[in-house]
Amino acid sequence: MSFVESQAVQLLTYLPEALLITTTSGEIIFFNNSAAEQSGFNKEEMLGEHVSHMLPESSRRKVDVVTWLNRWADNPDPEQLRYLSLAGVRKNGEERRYQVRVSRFVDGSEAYFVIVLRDITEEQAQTAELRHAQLISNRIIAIGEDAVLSIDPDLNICFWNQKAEQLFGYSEKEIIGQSINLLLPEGARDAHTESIQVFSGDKSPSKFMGERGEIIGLHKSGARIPLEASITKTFIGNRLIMSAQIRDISERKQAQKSLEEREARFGAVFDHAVEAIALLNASGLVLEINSAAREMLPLDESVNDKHLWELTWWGSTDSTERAEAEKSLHDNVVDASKGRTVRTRSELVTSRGTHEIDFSLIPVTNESDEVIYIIAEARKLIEQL
Amino acid sequence: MPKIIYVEISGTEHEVEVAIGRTLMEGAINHMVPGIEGDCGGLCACATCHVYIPEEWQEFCGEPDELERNILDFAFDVQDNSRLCCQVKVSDELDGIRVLMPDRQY
Repeated sequence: MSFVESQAVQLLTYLPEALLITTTSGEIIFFNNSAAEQSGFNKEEMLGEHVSHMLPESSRRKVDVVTWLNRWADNPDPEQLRYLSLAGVRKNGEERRYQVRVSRFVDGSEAYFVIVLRDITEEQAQTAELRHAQLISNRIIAIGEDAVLSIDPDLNICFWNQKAEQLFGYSEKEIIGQSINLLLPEGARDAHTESIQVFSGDKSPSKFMGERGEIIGLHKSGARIPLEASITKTFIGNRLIMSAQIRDISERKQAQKSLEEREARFGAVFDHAVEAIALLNASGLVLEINSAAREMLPLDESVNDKHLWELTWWGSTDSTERAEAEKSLHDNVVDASKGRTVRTRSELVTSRGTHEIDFSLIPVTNESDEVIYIIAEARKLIEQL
Repeated sequence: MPKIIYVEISGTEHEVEVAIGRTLMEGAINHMVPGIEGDCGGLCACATCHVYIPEEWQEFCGEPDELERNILDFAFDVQDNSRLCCQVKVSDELDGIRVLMPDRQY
């Protein structure tokens, strides 16, 4: 071996790339230091071995290493070599992905593959992870439950997702490039432009819109939609892009209105009943009390945070009598809290007079049969006569 | 536009509309369907848009060429009905097709 040849062998041995040379049938005849370091196999154990020792065929992939080395050596397609990687295995059994470069070297009647392997396992995993994270956020924005739109510095729409399309009735094609004003009732446009200008100049990166009242959007059909929205600033280059996340609250508003109506109807019944009624929790604390019951108490008495028996239903100043009456009412409430309906008839001496009353404690239970409320009801018998 | 249903290994379905002449890979990427990567952008060079085509739809998908068959060597769990969906163009006949995705693309 000449000096130059031995220098060349040294060079390949210490090349910082993992390099191996095989016969065209795949038998390894050269294995450099980087290949040993990368794969965990040492040179002595690999020489004479088949290349599939480090690039094993898998039962779940059909790649035949030698076939592909031939293909790539004949036709080194840069795209394929960029995207395809071979599954390899380190000496310790760990799976790796190798990007491969191969050329055919002919020496007289013998041909060889010169193979460079680059371990891209971590790189590939990181890229996949990043891409998946991006896919998740893109999917949330594009097909999530909120309508999302962005506007450019001229207040023209430059992003529009599927939910925005459903909410406002414009397709992406129709709306991109159009002014945001198209989505606002005429009377709200100036104030909106002004609040966007204020927001674009202040320091907060995002904020909830509508502190100054309800936000109304305009559907393509002209219908007005109550909305809830938050806005976010992003500089792309030196262009300020503002994005809004919007939710239709028509249903919520409708539900709230129905609830209020229902409450008003129940209130009307409760407050105008002739019977004195109090709603208690299971331990007897007064939650609600109606006008008829309120009238039975001294004018200045507060009912907040008091148990039914702690209220001054009794006009008597005799502390023994009072204590007895309180105890009896307390015991009745305890009975009701255990699920029993209590009915008594008694004479109630209040600060406003003496009443013969028919008194009931009716437990209200939930699906699991637990008492959640107690309804206390008192009917004045004298008035009925 | 033909409706394409991409079915993840978990059974999650993604029904999207894809324009005639586009590939099944482009349809999935444009609609952000998870499970189809399409690393090489449709050059038939990466095997990361591997799907299974149910038998009844195969005649409308055409036959894979030699390059596609070769590149499928790199895909995971290849079966007789495996295709690289960057090589399958959408046509009216594919309206309603269920494209099944493999466990993994790498």
